[in-house]
Amino acid sequence: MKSTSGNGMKILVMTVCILLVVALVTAGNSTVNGFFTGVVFYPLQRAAASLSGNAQDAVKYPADIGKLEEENSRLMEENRRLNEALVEYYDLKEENQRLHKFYGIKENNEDFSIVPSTVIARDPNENFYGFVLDKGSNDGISESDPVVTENGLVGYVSEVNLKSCKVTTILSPDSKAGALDKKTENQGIVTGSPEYCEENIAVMKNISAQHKMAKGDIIVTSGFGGKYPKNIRIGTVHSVEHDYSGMPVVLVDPFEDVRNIKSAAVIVKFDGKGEIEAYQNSESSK
Amino acid sequence: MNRYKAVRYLAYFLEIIVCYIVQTTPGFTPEVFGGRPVLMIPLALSIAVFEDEIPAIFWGVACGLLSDTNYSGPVGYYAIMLAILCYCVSVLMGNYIHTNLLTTMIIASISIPVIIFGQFVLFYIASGYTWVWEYFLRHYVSRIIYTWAFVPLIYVFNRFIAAKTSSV
Repeated sequence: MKSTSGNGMKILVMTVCILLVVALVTAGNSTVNGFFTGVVFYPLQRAAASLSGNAQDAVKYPADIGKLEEENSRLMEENRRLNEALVEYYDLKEENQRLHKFYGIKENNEDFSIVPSTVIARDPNENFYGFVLDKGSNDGISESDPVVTENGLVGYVSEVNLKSCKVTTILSPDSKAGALDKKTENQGIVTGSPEYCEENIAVMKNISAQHKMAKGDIIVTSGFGGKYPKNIRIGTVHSVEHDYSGMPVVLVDPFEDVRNIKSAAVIVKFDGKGEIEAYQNSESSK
Repeated sequence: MNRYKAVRYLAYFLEIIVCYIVQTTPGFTPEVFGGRPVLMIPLALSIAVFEDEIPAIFWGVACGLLSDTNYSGPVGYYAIMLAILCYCVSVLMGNYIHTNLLTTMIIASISIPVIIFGQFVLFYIASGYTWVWEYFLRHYVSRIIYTWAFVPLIYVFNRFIAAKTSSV
């Protein structure tokens, strides 16, 4: 089957040169990536994610499968119709549960505009458990929007395509959320750490040396900076440590297991969103 | 293009789609010791061992571009690396080395660590993240081994395709 061609090296060099140019052009620009993930593979990824979720549910509830098989044997002539109806029912039930969870967030925060979405991809090359959601700029999502679940903060949107967006989690050192200890009012910044991300633990830094934080305290977003809304729950204090310079570093146990979430909501609008940026822009224009 | 080649290329195309979906869909490949497999590397390698240089480059670029799409980095790293890998593998297997599972496994045991370590250098170390070598040991080594473990499966499948679609 194989034959040797003298043109191979020339074509390889040309290909590598073209790809280098593409890499340079697309560095910091999501358009090409977005074309693949947002348009070409979006339906496939969405279908596969749904299939994966249904399969996991089926493993969790073997009794339901038994019931279905029994029903199938009794109602052979209606087999196809019943199965279709059942799949539709599960989809609707899952969708209903998902929306109901986020309804609670909306009810408690009337100023929020939220977009419920499903995790459709987790790339093995992604560090710090980043993932892709099935909603994008077509749904009103923009870069830096906060991502939450019913349990608390998950991360922020770091890249937006037409029909999908990439999320950087609070386990990533790139994520920085202004945070507050609800009990002691001590403030700091919650970020990720390569050391603890595997254990689903974030860290809180820039804390006053005279802090009074202790294990079990609840950490929420402070709302300072306008990137995250105020009072979004993040987690509880796991332990208080010190870094190499002796400054306190608090390990935070997030309320949500960021490594395994299947659905999340993007907060596209909230009171005070981007206030610092708007202030900086108005100052610079003066 | 003869009929056998067209069938083989269609099989590669479908294989790439399936591997891409399995690689990226949450829950399809469970995390083991902090790592999940990058199936596009063994797939590109297994295609290249049965193909001429130019088709090997083409399929390497296709696998690479797909690998580049879902993680936070510019398009190009995997496409370039897999193009070079596939070219080298095709030349080696066509002229100097006998094509079998053992030689493919040996090539994979060199190329997979090189590609994933290169990615670690460019996208982890160069990004200035701390805890460098501990992170590599806890997340990347398992990814390398996990990826390597898929080589026999994908190789056997591609050998089957090559045998069935050989026009000779």
